[in-house]
Amino acid sequence: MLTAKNIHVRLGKTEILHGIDIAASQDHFTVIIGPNGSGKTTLLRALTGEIGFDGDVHLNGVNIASARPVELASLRGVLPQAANLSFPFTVHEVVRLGLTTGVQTDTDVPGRIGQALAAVDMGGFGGRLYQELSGGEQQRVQLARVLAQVWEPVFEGLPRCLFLDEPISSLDIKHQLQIMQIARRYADAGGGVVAILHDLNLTAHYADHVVLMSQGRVHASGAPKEVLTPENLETVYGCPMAVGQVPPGMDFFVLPLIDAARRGLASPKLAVSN
Amino acid sequence: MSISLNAAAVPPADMQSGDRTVFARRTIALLTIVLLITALLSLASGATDTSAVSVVWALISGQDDLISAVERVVILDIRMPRTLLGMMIGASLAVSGATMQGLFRNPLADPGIVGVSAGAGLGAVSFIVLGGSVLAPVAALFGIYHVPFAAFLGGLVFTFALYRISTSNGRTSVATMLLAGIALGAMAGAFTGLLIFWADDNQLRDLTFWGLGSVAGATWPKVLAVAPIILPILFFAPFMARGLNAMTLGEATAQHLGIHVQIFKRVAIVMVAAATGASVAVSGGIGFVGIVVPHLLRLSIGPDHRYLLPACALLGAIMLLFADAIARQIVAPAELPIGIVTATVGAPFFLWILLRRRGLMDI
Repeated sequence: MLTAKNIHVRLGKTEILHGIDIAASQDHFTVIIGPNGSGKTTLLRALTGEIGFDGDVHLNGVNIASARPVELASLRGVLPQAANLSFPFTVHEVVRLGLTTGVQTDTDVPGRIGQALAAVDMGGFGGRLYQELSGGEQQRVQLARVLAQVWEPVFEGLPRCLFLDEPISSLDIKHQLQIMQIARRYADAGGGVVAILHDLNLTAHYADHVVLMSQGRVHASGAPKEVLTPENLETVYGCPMAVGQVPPGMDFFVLPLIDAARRGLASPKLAVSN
Repeated sequence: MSISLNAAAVPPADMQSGDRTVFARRTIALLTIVLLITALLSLASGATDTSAVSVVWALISGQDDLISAVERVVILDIRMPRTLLGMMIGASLAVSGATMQGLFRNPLADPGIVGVSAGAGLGAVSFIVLGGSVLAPVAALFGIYHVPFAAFLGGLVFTFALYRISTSNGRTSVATMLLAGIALGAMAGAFTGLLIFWADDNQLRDLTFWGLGSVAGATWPKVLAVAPIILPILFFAPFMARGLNAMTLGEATAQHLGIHVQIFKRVAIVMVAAATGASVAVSGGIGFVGIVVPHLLRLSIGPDHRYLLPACALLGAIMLLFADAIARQIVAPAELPIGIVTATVGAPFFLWILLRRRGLMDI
């Protein structure tokens, strides 16, 4: 459903992305990982049409560079990393902002808002002021807003897409899992999800497709098992890792080799060896 | 919470759910009634002892012989234009304040504070001073609209400059906005001062009273000059509500929610400049209505612009009529310029907002 070809992004004089190709299909939970500054957020901004880029991005066959915002708004929802509000909105009103464009005019608006809040475990918080919530709660309310915008994963026969920039960065472990479940179910129901994550283990468990980025390029992409290999991870993150098999219910897990990392990071010779 | 002691302290069910739409609609209905009463009282009060009710009744019922010619002149030619002008100016100041605050995502952005009114003033003053000489051909071209039009142009240039200076990458910096507003205001002040320096004695008197802010000189031509600008904006403003709501989350998210941000911003800036320009052209510097009214309403009915904008128009009109009543009564039979009244009430209010929000904003 989402195809991007040869994406170049230039901010000022420096080129941030050097020709990225990426595809995300419906029914798939696609996760973008990579170290800080590898261009993940810039890529997501290009994919959502937030910033200018050279190249080609199509969502459901629609060229996003020339599409009308209202058309795109009915196809996909975007969760930014952080969102501040300067006005005293209640939680209910923030989620209602997701229903800004009249795509679903016949929706039961209060009902949809209630469902979206319940999905992120914020049911009953509707009357609270957004500004008075904790960072993690605000993040979940913003996700509820995005979910309210594109509630049905498939709408009028077309799959919709969620773009999530670090959706679990300030959440506790229970809510991290809960948000990952929401993304998983959205993909299982026929929609597409493209998320930036930092947690390699959650990525390993939930993702269908992993894109590993490094210095503005795609280092590897494919199924989690193919991408999350010790070699790939050490090359990209500059930190030795062990990929293990076990606990039941998990396919495999990734651990940083703390001792090796200490040695590696302390020695400039090793740090530049790649 | 002493729920058992005081049942009235329990918010209604729709407040607990965070949905304030019903409350907002009721508030708007209430404000409409209050505005009608205020407007009638404004017609009824003044230096001569003329009963507005009897005059209005006589006119409506067609019994023209019941009222004297003097009463007719006082009500129809002096008080009526003043009341109408006051309502339009108040509504337009409050709506342009709310629109600008929504656009800048900031409760302190008010045309009067960030230099837009000063820019509009500069436009107006240029025509008051130079309209008879250098700019005479332009003035002739626009007829009675030349001062409002000049104020609109001044306001437009300044709003646009302010937005360009204070917004980068879709984020507006509060500090930059306020500081740029000071600089732009000072610049407009300097040029306005230069024009005043060139003005003759008659123009000086006009300028001084105009600058203090007043609706005292209201005449039908003035009402007719600004009505075609202000009324369409007031009717059009609610259609901006969805865009302004989305903009509160930032430009990028507004775009993701389906708003064409670039077009929307331009329309909003032109609208604010036109409303501010028209108000400034006929009434001078009436400050703080644009900041006090939207802020009070946001605290009660919430920041949803679908209700905030109409409520602002109503409460702005009410507040201006009240301020005008105070200006007329407090030193009767003389009159204070209304700008002094609004600033006396509004400036401390502005400081109060600053103090309350000091911890919440990056200033």
